[in-house]
Amino acid sequence: MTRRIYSRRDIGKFGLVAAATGIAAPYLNIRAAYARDAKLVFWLQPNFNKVADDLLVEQAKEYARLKGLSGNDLQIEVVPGGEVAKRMAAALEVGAPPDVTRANEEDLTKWGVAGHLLDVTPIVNEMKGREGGINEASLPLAMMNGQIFGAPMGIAANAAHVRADKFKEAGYDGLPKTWEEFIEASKKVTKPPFYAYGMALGLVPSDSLGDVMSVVSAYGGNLIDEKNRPALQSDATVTAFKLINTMYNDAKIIPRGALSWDNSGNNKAFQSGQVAYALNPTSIYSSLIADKSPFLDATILERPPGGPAGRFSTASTDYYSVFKKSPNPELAMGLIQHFMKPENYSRFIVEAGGRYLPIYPAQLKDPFWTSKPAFAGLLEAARSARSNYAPGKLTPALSEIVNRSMVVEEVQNMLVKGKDPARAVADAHKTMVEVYKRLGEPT
Amino acid sequence: MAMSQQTSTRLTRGVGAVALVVLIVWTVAPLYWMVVTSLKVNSEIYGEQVTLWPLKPTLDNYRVLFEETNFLIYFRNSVIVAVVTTMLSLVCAALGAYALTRLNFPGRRFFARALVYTYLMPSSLLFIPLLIIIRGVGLQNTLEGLVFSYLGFTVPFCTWLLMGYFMSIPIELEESAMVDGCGRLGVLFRIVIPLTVPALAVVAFFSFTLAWNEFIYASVLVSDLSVRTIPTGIPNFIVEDVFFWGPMMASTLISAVPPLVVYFLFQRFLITGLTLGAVKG
Repeated sequence: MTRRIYSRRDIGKFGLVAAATGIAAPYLNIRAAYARDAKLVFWLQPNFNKVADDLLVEQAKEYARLKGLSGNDLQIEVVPGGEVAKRMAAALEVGAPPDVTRANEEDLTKWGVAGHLLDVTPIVNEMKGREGGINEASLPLAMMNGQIFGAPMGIAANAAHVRADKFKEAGYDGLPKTWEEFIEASKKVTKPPFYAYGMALGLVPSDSLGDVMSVVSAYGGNLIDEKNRPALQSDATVTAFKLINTMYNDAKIIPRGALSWDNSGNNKAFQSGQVAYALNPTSIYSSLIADKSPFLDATILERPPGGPAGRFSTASTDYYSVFKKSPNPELAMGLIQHFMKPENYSRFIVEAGGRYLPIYPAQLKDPFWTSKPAFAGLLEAARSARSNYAPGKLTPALSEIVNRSMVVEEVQNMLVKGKDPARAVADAHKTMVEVYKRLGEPT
Repeated sequence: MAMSQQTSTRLTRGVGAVALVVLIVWTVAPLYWMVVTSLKVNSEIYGEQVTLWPLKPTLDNYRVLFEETNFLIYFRNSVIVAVVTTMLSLVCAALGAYALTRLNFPGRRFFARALVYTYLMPSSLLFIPLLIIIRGVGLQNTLEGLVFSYLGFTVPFCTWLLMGYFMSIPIELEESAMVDGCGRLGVLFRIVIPLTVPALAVVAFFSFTLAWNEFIYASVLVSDLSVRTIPTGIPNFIVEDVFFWGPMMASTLISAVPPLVVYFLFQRFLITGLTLGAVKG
């Protein structure tokens, strides 16, 4: 018997064939699995923590079972927040948006005005009819032409995360009550590289505008008036801009790099012990708990400092929406109703760990909200919270201004290029008016 | 006072050495930081003090990656897509480049130039039209859809690249082969391709890394977790304004391994291939 001798080339060939077979085998299975047509598509935007996200998946599957859907009839796609805009633009273009997804205020306005969403008034009415009703302050933003395009699913209140120990070391019992006092205290707290105020000032929507508006509103300034017309130009706003300029350029209580922060900038600064104050949703506090941070016990949640007009935090609402292209709108509406059933919703809110305040005020009686001392401050901040867009509401023009960070850009011009605060306010207002005119909205 | 030749040489070498050290640190520091961060616990990552080496090294981020996420599925999908894209790119580009350099047909110059223009089209402009096409042919949410999409930008560039190499091969070699009875494909596979292995290695490396790292198409064309690739899986570690740096760095580090392996395997060919045109007219 002759014995075949395998060359390196032969072994290489066998290796290639084996690798190709190994790669192809699971691939064929995958291919087969995708030859399906889901009856219900839910875009899950991960938000809180794995447990809360898993709970949503479990509740969606439970709903599918109740409706007699098979495993392939329900499709849950996990879409990270940063990908939503791009993915949704493409999905709407090809006429295949999800049936249900969560929408923030900006997305809700954009999709609602463009006519992509279904009226969910019946769902909201059902929610209103439950014991204690719902927080109706969340509804005006979702209403367009008498229809409601989003069922409110949670209130994200911003709270001032405060390192009480640092202010105590500087001789203060807690967070000073006015911005002027805050600046004085912060001068003592700031010892570079440690700064008092982790003010988000980057050109990204959300945190930066929230920080700016928390100062502006304390002095009585607004972005828009009750008739949704630009209203930034006011003495109050100029005073607030001057104060921000003082904090950054004169008192130097804000890190210099804050101008380039994204939405995670103030989180990182606070979590790593570089700042003593940051205005943010409770994602910072939740991370301190999860990381067993040494700063956790020294951190309190509070309302931001105030001014002559009051002491306000900011808050926003998230919604569940159904798309008009949904082939089974009743099924899609039913999923939202299932999520918002008080027993299901209560579990979700608790698992979300304080990320959202419940839309049903009655659920604030849950022992969860007294389980941590800091939540008292959060609830206080929530009670004093107002929308960045108060007393008006978000419109397509304002949405563009927010998404393009036009107001914060003028704040940056003031801080970096030395533009006079009054000029910066005037220019920001002028830019707003231009956008409003271009989009045909009242000025 | 004039500087002596020796001093001048020493100075030049010293400056060169300093520049090299700076460049090495510049290149290696991010990689080092990835490794170190992936071995730190979250409280240290967000700690008050920046540590150059983990105080309490942990593999927990890797455990999270492999046990609590779909990273292995993403990894497998990335391997499939990158390998298939590379192989198809090689075949299509070799055939295309040979046709454009050696065959005479109407529109040859136009096609050769159009290849470059095709490559120059930014993917951010193309992803929606491409989604319409891919969806239209029923390939959305499939790995084939991704492969075909990637071929759209690898084949033009690889073809254009190979054209340059093919042109550098003396046509007399091919004519001799044909005189001896070799056909066109025979010439391509027996004469031209063996002579351009380094160039093919460059093309393969280029296709592999592009397909491995691509993000926009992958994030739009596939959505289900089972068909996602690594670049679209990594953003799952960013939840709104919270970054899970440990697992993110671990996944980034592991995802950098296959291109490195490919590079080291073909290093000899790559260097030859990249410098091939430098000494030919």
